[in-house]
Amino acid sequence: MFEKIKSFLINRYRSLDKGLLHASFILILFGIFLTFAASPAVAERNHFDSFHFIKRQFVFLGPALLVLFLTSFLSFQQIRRVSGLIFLGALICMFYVSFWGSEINGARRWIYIGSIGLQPSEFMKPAFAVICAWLLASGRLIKQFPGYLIACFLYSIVAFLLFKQPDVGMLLTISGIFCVQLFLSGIPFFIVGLLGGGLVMLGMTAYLTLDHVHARVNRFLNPEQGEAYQVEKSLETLQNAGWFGKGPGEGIVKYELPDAHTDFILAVSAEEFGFILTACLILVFAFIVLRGFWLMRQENNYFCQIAVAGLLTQIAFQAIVNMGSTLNLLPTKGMTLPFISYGGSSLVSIAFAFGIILGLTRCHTLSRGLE
Amino acid sequence: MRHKKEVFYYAGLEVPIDPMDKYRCLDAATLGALEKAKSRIAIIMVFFTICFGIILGRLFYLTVVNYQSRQFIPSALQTEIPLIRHNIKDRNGIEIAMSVPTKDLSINPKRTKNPEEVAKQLVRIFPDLSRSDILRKIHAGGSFRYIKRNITPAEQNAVNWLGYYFLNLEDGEKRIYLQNNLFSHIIGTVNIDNQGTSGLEKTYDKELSERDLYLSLDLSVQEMTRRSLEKGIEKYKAQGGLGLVMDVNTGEVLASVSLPDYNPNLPLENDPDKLFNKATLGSYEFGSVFKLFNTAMALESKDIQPWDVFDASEPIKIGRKLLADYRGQNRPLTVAEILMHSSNVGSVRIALKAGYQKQREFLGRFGFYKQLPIGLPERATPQFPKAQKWADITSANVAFGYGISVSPLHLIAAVSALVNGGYYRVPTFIKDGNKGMPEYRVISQRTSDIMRHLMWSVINWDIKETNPIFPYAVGGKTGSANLLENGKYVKGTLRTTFVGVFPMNAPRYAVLVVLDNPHGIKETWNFNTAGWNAKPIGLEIITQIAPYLGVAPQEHWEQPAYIQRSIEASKAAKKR
Repeated sequence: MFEKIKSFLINRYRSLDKGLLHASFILILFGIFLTFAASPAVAERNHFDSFHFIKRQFVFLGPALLVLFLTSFLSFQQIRRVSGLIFLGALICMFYVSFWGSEINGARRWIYIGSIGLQPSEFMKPAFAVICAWLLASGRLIKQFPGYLIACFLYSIVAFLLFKQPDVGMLLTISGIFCVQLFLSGIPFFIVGLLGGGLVMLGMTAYLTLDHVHARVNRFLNPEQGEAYQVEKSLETLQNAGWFGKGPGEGIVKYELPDAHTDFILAVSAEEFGFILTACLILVFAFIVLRGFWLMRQENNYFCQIAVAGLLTQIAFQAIVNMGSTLNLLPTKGMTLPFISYGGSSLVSIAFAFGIILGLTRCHTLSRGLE
Repeated sequence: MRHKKEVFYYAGLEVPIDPMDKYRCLDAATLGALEKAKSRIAIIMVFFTICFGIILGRLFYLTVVNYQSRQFIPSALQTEIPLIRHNIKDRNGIEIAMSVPTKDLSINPKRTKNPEEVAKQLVRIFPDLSRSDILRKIHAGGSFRYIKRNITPAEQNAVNWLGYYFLNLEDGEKRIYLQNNLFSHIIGTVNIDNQGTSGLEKTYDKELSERDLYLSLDLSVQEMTRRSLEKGIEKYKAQGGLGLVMDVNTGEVLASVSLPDYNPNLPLENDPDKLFNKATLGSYEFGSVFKLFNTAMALESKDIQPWDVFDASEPIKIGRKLLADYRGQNRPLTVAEILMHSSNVGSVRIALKAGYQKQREFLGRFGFYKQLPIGLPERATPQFPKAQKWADITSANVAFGYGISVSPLHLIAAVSALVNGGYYRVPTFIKDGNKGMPEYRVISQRTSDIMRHLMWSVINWDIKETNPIFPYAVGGKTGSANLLENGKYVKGTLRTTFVGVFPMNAPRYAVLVVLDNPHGIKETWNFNTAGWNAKPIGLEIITQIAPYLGVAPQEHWEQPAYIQRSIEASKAAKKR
């Protein structure tokens, strides 16, 4: 029995895409490094013990790795089922949170189990990508299956709940995922254009109706108002980073940025490790995204293509928005950098998403064998 | 897994075929969809490549292209903070006013979260702030409010540890006045934004942004003058007073004190008396001191000679007004004796002899009719009789110092011109401020020489009796004028003046002391005229500053015959 499990695990492990797997390990290592660099300053400022955030992050590291591997070993069908379950669970939790959750900084997003906070929408994202991919693929390939309709219906529910919380960052991510998936499902370019317009409309609505979105965009457009404190500090820091940075632990921006360990961790990285290492970090993200899409171009499983594309979009979108706002290319949007930023539920959910990517890309070896 | 027959293994790839693989049956429709998806995946890849490319490029631009080496010193520890406003120093380079870099703490009310807690934490750091005040600022809205200007490094650190991103620290600077009250009026003040609002700070606002300012004032002379004056004011129960020391040859002011004064380091008190610079902004009638100019005028026009004698045996009637002497000698007096005993009658006779037109023209030479062109915003406008009203009665009053009021600075500059050989220089508060500036001859060398002897005799004819060990060759004149209140002279109240010059054989410095409303005390037999209060203070100042300024004690100075005769006559009259 033990032998069987062992050989099963070894087989499964061997069939994983090593490029993606190792890239994810590199990101996790980066994340540990940067949490060590950035979080003690934040912890001390908030009157915690210096290693407060590091300890909490380590508590989640084990479960995250477990989730990563377990998910990657799942078969397509299991992935679909697990995603379905998680999607349902997360949706219920989000529903509960949106209406009865406790308010933090003007939004209801968190659910608490003991002292551990979970953000159900974080887990909903990958599950949503998988479910949508399945619906869209089936809708395209099986006649009389209203996959598009159901997908759109699910999207509207999720979008409504996120708007209600409100969590515009998450809403934009979900919308991005959904758009890419619709795009891949072969809808005409005409409708793609319409969707693009719709997304712009959505952004405008958020800008006009939600105060904090309004404020943030204004701040981005008029930096001279002196309100973009964090971005200003971040830019100031980057200015004296140079090729090699100041060296680990030598940075000072972390003492002045409230979100040094989450939204602005790239600034800490640039300041302490310099351009070269930070560029490496960006390249790892680019590698993961491009490698994933590259594999999908060789993939002949339609569901698999759309699902992986959605998940990769999620990771790419979060990374680009996070880095973009640190570099003052985009308005600040409270989005975490996958694998890097501090945050337990964010780490586990990214591990889950990445596990699915690994699980879905795994079949690639086989499909080549089939041809 | 052997019992599961449907599981199929490829050789070397013992991985089960996934049952989900039904999409792999590649019919035409599926193939079409796949091809479309693959081409669109290429589009998405291009899109993300561009995005990551932009981010990389931006990072490169910000970190490498835009690189500014800061030598890895945390910004809080950097020492090379440029001082925007430069220092003010005395003539020997001792700092009077300097700027220290500080931080200004401001808040962004729009972004403030949890105002109650913020206010509580801020009050913990700044116990002098009130909680309701901070809350009011936060609730007032807007995106910028100062919480506290010029906070200390320790407070700065405490604020940083709060970690509130809506609290901002920006570079500021604070003006420190190292000598506290000593120079308050002359230096003036700056506002919270370090712009000069009064005194030299205001006049030299622009220069101070470029270089240090060296004053003509001397810290030690200023301190000695202020201390003597302060003691004197207390002793004679005066309301206030002023003291000036001036270099008679260059016009540089060495000391300028006006009491009461204020400490510019403390928040300004709303006390007009303290903020008022009597030395430059005050405009006063100086009484008998003007007899010096009256005499000089007549000497200069050769209407009188120093050995002339004038009848002062009885009051003189001008128009319907009878003018008498204060404690008169009631005998004929020489020109020197008229000054020694400060005879109003004698002075009026001199003025009448010269005529009022000459008098009016003469006083104009000393700038008595216009504001002094000095580098201070606080300048007095003199008051004097209109030209058409300047007739005998006016002239008689002006002869002993009534009807014309000028600032103390006017007076000391004019007295300097009387003794320095006849050159008038505009007073200056800046070191070497009169170098290269024109000087005006106002009286001849001869008149100046005579004036020196006359002024010497005024102080010295009986100094051996009042102050037998006084070592310096001082000359000068005292004056006491009734205080004006609502356009009427108040009997018994006086403004007493002493002006002195030393050393009289080769004048270098002039000293002016003015007391506001001194009272008679036991030691002065209840007299309150200048000779009893302003003069001792002036001599006290001279005793202190003369050694510091390198003035040697009096050598023998041969007096002309007319002075010797006058002194003998006065001594004889006194014995009688």
